[in-house]
Amino acid sequence: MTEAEIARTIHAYFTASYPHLGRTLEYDTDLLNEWFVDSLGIVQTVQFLEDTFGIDVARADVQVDNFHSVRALAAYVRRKLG
Amino acid sequence: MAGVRLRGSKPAPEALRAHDRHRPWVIAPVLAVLLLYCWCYTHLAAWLGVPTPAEVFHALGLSGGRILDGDGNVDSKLYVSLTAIFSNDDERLIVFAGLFGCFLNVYFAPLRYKNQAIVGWFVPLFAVLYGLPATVLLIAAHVAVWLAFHPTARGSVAGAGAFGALVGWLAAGSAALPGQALAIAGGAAVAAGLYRWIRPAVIRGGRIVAVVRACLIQTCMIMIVAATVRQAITGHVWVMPVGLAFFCFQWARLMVYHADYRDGEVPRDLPLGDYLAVFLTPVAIPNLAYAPYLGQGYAFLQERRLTEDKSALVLSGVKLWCLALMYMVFAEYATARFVVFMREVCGVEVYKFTSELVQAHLAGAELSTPTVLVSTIVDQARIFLIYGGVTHFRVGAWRVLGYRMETQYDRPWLATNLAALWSRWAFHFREFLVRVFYYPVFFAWFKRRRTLRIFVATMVATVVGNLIWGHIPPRTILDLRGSTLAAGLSTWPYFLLLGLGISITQVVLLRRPRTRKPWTRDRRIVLDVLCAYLTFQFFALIHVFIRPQEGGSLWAYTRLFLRGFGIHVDG
Repeated sequence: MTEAEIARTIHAYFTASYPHLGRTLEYDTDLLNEWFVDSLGIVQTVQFLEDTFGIDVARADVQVDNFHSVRALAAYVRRKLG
Repeated sequence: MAGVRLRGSKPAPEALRAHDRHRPWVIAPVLAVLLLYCWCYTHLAAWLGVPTPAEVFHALGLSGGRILDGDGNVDSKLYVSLTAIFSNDDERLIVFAGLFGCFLNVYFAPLRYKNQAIVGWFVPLFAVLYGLPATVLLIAAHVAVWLAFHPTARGSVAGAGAFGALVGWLAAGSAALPGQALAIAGGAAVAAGLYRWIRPAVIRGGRIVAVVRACLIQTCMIMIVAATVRQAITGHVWVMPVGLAFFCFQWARLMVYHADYRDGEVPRDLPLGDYLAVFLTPVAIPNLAYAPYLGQGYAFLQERRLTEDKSALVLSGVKLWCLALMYMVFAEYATARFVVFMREVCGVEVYKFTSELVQAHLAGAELSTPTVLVSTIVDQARIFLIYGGVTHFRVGAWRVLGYRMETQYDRPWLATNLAALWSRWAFHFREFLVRVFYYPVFFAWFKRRRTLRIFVATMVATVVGNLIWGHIPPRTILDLRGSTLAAGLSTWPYFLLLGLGISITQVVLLRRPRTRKPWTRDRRIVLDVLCAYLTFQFFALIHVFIRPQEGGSLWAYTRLFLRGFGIHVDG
């Protein structure tokens, strides 16, 4: 799976699960400041990543560097997939 | 371990500076709304010789019943707990004046002095309302936490000396001046010396230090257990000193601070002033027991501090204050009118309080299903208006002081399932439980079994965390008896039902993701309305388990609960 395909899947997940009326989610939109609903959104995203891509997300991985945008998440998943 | 950030990140220094532009005209709306509060809730109108709320009501030909109190002011849901130095009205006036002073100071102070301004206003305000011993005890308790968590901070040995001096002054009590001076100097010297000696061990950490830190954070639970056990053995009921009670009321915020610390989100060398600014803020004073977790820990506040232009934040806080005033003034009136309407027009006997409903049930009254359903909903609507009013006031105060704080209630009537209701009904409480209970379980247990993972994490947060760390402290801190603790624990069916409802909702939503956003304007919006009603009705109905009355039993409450479903079971 390429990073672009991963990004598309993640983008579809966010727009479906956390729709924001009148706003468009870009690949570089700041997820943490502008898109996450609340703290539970993070664990649901972790679950989504694990279920969809078969990766194991460690607590230590859930940090700004990996979660700040769709692009960053896609890069993180790509790295985890090896 | 690297940090798990809840939401967003701390604004960059340049953003903070950009958001710190002065617009002096914002002082006017803050002052105007606080004066309105003073007019409604204090004796200010009488002192100034302007018409009081009662006089205005009479002039308009209104009775003001359920809105005005005995002394001609608006009956207030805003109050200052645990003190009787002044009358309630005067306490409120002091709080409003203190908030205004703090706002001015924080607004105009340079960025690096804003925290000091918050603490600087809290300390005299608290001292006036609660007295010096309570203030000293509260500060000493927080300095002890700071010393345990931040041994590498600049001035930590001096801080230990200050801690010793405070404890020395408290220990000296009403001793003569030379005795007090000796106790203060001796306490300072001993504490500073001792801390200098143990400081390297505190810096190294280790198991003992971790236990000491956990004990300091869990002071509230330790006190509750110790006092109730002692009462059971000796019959003596211990009344917690006010300063310590105030510290204990911050148990949830301390737990989040601890979680932040463990996740590396709190600077190890955090200065004392910045630590104290997390907890010692004038916002913490009114309605101590209402949403005591509001403000969370260190990271939560840092992520919300000056995230936008400070004047815009102030104005959003002022708007919330206006909404809060409306909620608080009309809560009792609106619910009382609705009860009368249901009785006289619809012919349904309605109890304004769930506790009254439970009492009537225990007394053998034949309650119909509509009575049970409507009464429980009315009580929740009343609670929403009162709690919503008070928490909006407190959230508004946070915003006025420059923090982009979310409201505790976010249009709960839009929630179409229990998980959404839990978030919309008590946002900050949910954040506390997720941060302290949900996350640790979610990331540690059942990683290969996703349904079980979500289910167990949710149950731990909503049942164990909610009951023990959410429900017990506010109930018992001010009444340290075994019977109070037992009564609190006996409400477990409420937490179990709520936890099961939320957990099952979570699992269902995870397995069957939504394809349609609720409240989309299509023909399925009727289902949204039905789901919203059923969700709120279930939530209201399970409250029959959390209002235990004398002579009640689990079976009696269960029968009342079942009556809400139209099931009549004889006792």
